[in-house]
Amino acid sequence: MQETIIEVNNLRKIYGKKNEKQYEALKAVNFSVKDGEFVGIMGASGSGKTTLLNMLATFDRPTSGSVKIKGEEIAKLKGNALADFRASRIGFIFQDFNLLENLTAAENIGLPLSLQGVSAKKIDAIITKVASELGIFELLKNYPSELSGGQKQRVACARALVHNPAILFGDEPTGALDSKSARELLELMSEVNKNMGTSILMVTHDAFSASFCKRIIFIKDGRIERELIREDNQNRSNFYQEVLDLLGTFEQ
Amino acid sequence: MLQKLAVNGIKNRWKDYLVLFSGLVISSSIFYLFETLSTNGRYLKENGAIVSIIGYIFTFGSVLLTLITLVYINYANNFLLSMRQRDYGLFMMLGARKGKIGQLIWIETMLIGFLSTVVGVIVGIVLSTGMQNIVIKSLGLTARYYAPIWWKAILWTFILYLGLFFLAAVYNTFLMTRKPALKLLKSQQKAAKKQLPMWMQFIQALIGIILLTIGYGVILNAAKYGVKTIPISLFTITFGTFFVFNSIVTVGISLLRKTKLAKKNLNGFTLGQLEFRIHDYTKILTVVTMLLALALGAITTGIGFNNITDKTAETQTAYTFGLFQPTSKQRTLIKKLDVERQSSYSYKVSGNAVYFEETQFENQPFQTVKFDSKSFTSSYTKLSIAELKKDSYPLQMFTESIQPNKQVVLVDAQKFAAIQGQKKTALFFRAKDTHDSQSILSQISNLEYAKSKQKDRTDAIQGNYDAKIYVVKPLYSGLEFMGIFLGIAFLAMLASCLMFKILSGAFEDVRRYAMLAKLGVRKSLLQGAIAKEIGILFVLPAIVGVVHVLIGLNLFKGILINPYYGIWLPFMIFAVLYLLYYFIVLFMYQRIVLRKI
Repeated sequence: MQETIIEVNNLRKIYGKKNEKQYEALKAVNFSVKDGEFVGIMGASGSGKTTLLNMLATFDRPTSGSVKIKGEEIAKLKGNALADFRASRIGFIFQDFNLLENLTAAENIGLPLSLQGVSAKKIDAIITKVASELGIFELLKNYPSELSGGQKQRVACARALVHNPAILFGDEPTGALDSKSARELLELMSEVNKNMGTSILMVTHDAFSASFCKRIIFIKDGRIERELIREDNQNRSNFYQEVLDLLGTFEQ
Repeated sequence: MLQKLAVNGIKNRWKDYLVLFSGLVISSSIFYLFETLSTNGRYLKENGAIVSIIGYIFTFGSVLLTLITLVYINYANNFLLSMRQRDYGLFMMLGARKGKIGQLIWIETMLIGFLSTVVGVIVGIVLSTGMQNIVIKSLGLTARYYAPIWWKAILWTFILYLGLFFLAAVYNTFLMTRKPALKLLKSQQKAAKKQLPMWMQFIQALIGIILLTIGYGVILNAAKYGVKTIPISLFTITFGTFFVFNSIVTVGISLLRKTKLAKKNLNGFTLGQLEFRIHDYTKILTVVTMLLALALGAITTGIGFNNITDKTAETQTAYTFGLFQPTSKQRTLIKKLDVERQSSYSYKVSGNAVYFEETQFENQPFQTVKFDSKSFTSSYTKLSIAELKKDSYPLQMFTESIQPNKQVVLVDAQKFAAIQGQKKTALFFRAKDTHDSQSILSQISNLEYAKSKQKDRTDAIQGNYDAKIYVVKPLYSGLEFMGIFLGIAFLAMLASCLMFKILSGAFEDVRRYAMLAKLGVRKSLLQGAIAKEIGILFVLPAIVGVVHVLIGLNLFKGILINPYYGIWLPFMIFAVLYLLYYFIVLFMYQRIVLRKI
């Protein structure tokens, strides 16, 4: 049996203080992600998908319920333990890249390793390896401002993967990319998932992006409404059609 | 409607405006403070009598301060622009006419300039009054003819600030109306600046070092260059500092980035931040360095004048007091003092002379003082009876107060006994002149003065204490006041410069540090990175500034005898203040940047 990477139980999130007007963004969400899975979370704006991702990625705290990553209850993590957990277990790709513009691509990628006290020599070796795998070796000396959107996101992807995280989160990673770059990035993520065995959980509202996943969880008004699994023999365009069909009925 | 929006924009960012406004107020009030000294010709003339070129020095001080103000307002204006660009871009998107936008930004700039100058002058008047009182009270100084409210200073402050703001307003209007709306909206997304090629950096470094060498050389040979010393050194050192920062520091950081050290923790990030900003910072680093050198230099020379006051007084005679017929009250007061040496002689007054018994001078020799300017210490030598007989002036100095215009004669015991007249006692003592003993010494002095036959107190100098209070101090205290006053003023300006520049960058950093936190950087590491980054901005000007001061003190060789004597005191005071200030800025920066983490 495959190992469970993420386990979410009765997760709830309520915004607003007790005496103010409250808004329940997530209502008792339950699901799990197994090792090596490529999961997509879809939903319209305001459905709660970003809230869910922030909670999983430890950027926000749940009101109640539990989130376990590799068996560790992350809602209880605080301070240094929380920071170390992020640094060692999680990789994150943001919609707007979030690269540090005062560092070169290589320095951006190497940052998580520097934080873990890896020796300079080893860092260089790992950066070279990851960058070659992601096809950005030529860009290592450039600053983010000298890169295109697609290139930036590849660098961000390398930074998210360089420390072998237990899971890679993506928050609309293709949101700021043109269609060609978006397709390249998604193909890259699929390859990473397949070849390196990295588990990926990605939030998107775009059916095309979602069609690269193996399983899609649909959220509506803070609840999981549906789940779609891509069969082993099903090709991507077929799955894409299925997602589109479902979305057509789902949104109504 | 647009006006409303504009005002609303200010309301929303009142904190940023507060930084801007307070910075400008401090700057203009300091300029005012400086001008109250430099435009007050009578004060300078009366107090600077022993420094003939003082007016001249102040003229160049004004020029330098104007240059600093120029840089300062340039930064303030950039800060204002970066705050407002987006808003005005948005107004344009909403269909505001360019003319209207231009008008708004013009009014806004001028209004800020005008208000901050008015408030600055008011603050300046309050400060100069307060400072006059504090400095005069705490140091016992008198600054004759100094006026805290000085219309010439008000006028010059207004002329400079309003003039500069007028230029800024014209520039802003031009910029806002020429730039397309989209560019204004996206103005915050700045691209990385390319580094200058190596050979350019090398040339800059060379020019910088040559300029500094010339500047230092001129100062070290001030006698040779005379009045040209100040303008030459001011120019060469200011620009030399700039070029050195712009090249050597930049190259140093980019070299450091390539080492292993840069791959440890957040070092790489900190170095990246610095390299990214260093071109932006070089001007402010230069300004801070110059202000630091001026502030430290002014305080050091101010305290130097204080030292020399004591030393000069110490070298008048070998005794703190020479008392004639000491009263019992005086004797009890003396018991409270830490007396090093005491001798008492009998004397008689007869006819046109004051007679002393010479054998008493054999048992308790009378001393004179010698001053060694190198070690800055006084030494005392005994006067033999023969020497005293030959030249009785050391003794006569003391008798002038109670027995004016009478000769001092030393006679043997037999003759002394034969002289008609009452046998009286003269008591000479040398006590430690400490801060606590001032009131006792002052009481003794007043009691002694009551016996005097002299009308003018300066003619009734009964030893070193009187000499200090009534002769030496009035001579130097104006200069001491000037030094400490300017030191504090420059320090305040330095503080506001650093704070302004550093905090204006803090808002950009909020995003970066939030990003790092998301990557899993411990908070302690983030704090450490901020401490390092700001630390370097404090340390670089400190090092260069201290070198400037150490060289620059040479200028005061003529007046202060040994300008390096006791400099550890002002340096320590300054270091403590500077360190304290570093922690304040650091704390504020961390509050802004790490608020949400």
